[in-house]
Amino acid sequence: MSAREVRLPALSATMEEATLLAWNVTVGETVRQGQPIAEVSTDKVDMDLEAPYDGTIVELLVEQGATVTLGQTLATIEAEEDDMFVGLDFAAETQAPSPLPEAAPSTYDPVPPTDTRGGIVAASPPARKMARQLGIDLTEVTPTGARGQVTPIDVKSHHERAGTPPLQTQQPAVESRPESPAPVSEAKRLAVRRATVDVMNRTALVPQFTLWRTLVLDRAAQRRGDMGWTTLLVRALAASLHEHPELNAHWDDEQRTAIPHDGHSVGLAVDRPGIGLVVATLPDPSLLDPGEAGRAVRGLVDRVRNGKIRPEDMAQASITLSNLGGLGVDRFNALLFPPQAAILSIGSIRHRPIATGDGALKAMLTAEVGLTVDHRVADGADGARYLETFSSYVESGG
Amino acid sequence: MPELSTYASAVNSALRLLLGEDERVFLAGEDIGVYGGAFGVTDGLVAEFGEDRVRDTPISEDAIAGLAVGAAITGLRPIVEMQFSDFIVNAMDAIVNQAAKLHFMYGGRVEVPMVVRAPGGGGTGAGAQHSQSLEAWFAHVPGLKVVTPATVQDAHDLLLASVLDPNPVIHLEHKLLYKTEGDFEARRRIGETPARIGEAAVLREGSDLTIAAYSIMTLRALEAADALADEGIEAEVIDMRTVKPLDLDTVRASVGRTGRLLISHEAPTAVGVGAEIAAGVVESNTIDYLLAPIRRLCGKDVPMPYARDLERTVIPQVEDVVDAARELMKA
Repeated sequence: MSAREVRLPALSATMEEATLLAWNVTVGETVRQGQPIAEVSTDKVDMDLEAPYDGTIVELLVEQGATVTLGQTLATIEAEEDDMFVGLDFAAETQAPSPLPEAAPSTYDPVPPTDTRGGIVAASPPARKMARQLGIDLTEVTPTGARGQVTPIDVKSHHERAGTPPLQTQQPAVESRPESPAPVSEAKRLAVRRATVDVMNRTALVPQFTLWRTLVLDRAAQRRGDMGWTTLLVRALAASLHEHPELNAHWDDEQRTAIPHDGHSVGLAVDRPGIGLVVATLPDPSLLDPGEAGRAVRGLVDRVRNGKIRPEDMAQASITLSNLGGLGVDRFNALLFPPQAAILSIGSIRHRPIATGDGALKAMLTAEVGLTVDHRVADGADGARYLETFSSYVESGG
Repeated sequence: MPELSTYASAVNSALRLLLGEDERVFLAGEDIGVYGGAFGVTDGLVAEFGEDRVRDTPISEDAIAGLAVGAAITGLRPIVEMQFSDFIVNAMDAIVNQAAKLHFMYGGRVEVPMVVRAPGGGGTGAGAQHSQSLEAWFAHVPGLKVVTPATVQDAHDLLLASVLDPNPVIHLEHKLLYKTEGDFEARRRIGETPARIGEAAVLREGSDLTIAAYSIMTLRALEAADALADEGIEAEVIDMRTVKPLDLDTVRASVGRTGRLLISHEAPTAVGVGAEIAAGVVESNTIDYLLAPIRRLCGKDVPMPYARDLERTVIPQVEDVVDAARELMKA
C-alpha cells in the first residue's frame, strides 16, 4: 500500500496561494499521471492541476472554492490497487506508529536528551512534517508517543480539536448550493459501492462455510455493566483470536501456504446511511480495558458515520464483526473480506424460548452468531473451537 | 603554562615522555631514527634514547606490525610508525587477524598493548597511494580502537592515552596537521593525560546546528563556524577525537538541542564513519528532535587525484562546510 499526497505546487514564481475552482475527479476514481484532476486559479492564471502519480483518488481534502496555500495537501492518491477497500484506503505514512519500536527497545534511549536548552519539542519526523503543513505549533500538542514524542495521531487529533481545519474551505463555494449535498454524497456512494463490489468479487473466489451457534446472554447482560454489546463482541473476537491463531491468516496461492497476519485488530462493518457499507478497523480491542475499548468503538463508528475516517481506521483487520441485529435480523450469512479468513455475523439480541436442563422452556436473552471461515485456511473444527472460546468470553460478560 | 607548539612537536614530546618514563616503550618504523621520520615526528629521539629504543626497520610494514604484536604480547609497549597510513594495507594480517583478536582468542589472558601511528589524509598533492583516510577500515574490526586527534594538545594527550590502553590502538595523524600550531601543555607524567579514548569534545557551542567532525575536518568546521557566526548562524562543533568507539552520546545531546546535524570527514562518504554517526542519531530518540535531514559532507568516492585543484574538489574545504551548513539551515 502506498498512498501519496497531492500538494499544491508553485504554478508561478510569485504565487503563494490559489483557489481551487473545481475538482475534475471523485473519490474512487482512477487517474493517470498528468491527467488534470482539478482547476485552480492563482494570482496570475487559471490552470489545471495534474495528477502526479498513477493511482486511485482516495481523498479530496479541499472543497471547491477553497483557498489553498503552497504545499498544502489537496488529495491523496493510492498507488496500489490490492487493498481491502481500494476507494477508502488512506495514507500509510500517517498511520499510527507501528508497535515495532516498542518491541525493539534496545536501540532506543530510555530518556530524551536531558539538556533541553534547545527547546525543541520531541516529535517524530512525520508528525513534525504534518504540523508544519497544518500550521500547528507543536508546543501546544499533547504528546502520547512511547518515547514522549508527538506522533502524527497527536497532531491530527489536536488539529481536529482545534476546530475549523485550515484544510477546509474558508469561504463559500463559488456555486454555493448549501441544500444540495447530493453530488458529493452520490460520488461517495458510488465509490463505496465500487469498493464493495471489488471485495465481493474477491470473496466469491474463496471457498467459505458458516458455523451457527446460539449465544445465551442473560449472564452477560448482568455482568457487562456499562459495556456496550459491540464492545463486548469485538473484545471477545480479538481475545479468541489470540487463542486460535490458525484463523488469523490468509491463504497464499503462490506459496501454497497460510500466511499469518500481524496483530489482532477487528474490522467493524458500519452502515453509512445513504452511502453504504464501510468496514473500519479497531486496533486490538482485547488489549484495552472495557472503557477504553468502548470509547474506541464509539469514536470509530462516529468517524465513519460523519465521513471523517482516519488513515489508521483503514488498516488491515484480522477478523470482522457484522451486526444486523439492530435492524431486526435474526441471523444472516456474512461473507468474508479477503484477506481475512473469518467474519462473525450477529443477529438481534432478544428473549427467545430456550429448553432448560429440567425439560422446561424458559425465555432467555439470546442471539445467533454465524462464523464464516475460509476453508483453505482452516477447517470446520477449527472454526467450532474458535466459536466455543468466543461464546464463553461473551456469555460470561467479558 | 600553555605555550605554542606544532602538532608534530606535540607528538614528538609525547614520544619523548613515553620513552623516558616507561622503559617497556620502544619505537619502530621506516626512517624514524637518524632521519627523524618522513615528517620529522621522531626527530632527535634516537640520539636521546639509542637505537635499541628507536629502531629503524626495513621497508616491510608486515614485519613492523608483526614485531609489534610479538613484542606487545611479551609485555613491551611498542609504538610503531607506518610512514604513510596507506601502507598499513601491507600489514593488515598482523593488525586485523592477530593484534585485534589475541586478547579474545586467549580468553583475556593475553593483552596486545601496541600502538600503530600513521599519517593519513590528502591535501599534499601526494597522489592516490599517499593520501587516503582509512579509519573506517579499522573501525570495522572488533578489537581495534581508532583515534584521530585534530588539535595539537590532543595529538599529545591521545597518544599517551593510546599507550595506556592495554590493547591495540590505531593512532591516525593527518599530514596537513603536522605543521599546525596551537596552545600546548606538555604532560609531565604519562598518567596525567586527561584524554580518554571514546570521548568526544565540544570545541565550540552553538544553538543552530551541530557539526560533528574529526581530524582535519574539525579545524575546517571551526573555521566555518566563525564564518557562519558572521551570518548569524551559531554552529556547535564537536570533535569526535575517537572514531572507534564513537561517543554518540555527545552527538545526540547536542543534536537534541540544535535539531540539525552536519557530519564531516575527509574519508569518502560511502560506508564511512559518518554513516555510523548518523545511524547512531536516528536509532535513538534523538530522531524526534531532528528539524532537518542529517547531512554528510565527506570525501568524494574517487581515488585521490594528484592535481591540487582536483584534490581540493575531492576533499571538503572550509567554504564547503559553510555552504552545507547554510543549506541545512534552510531545510
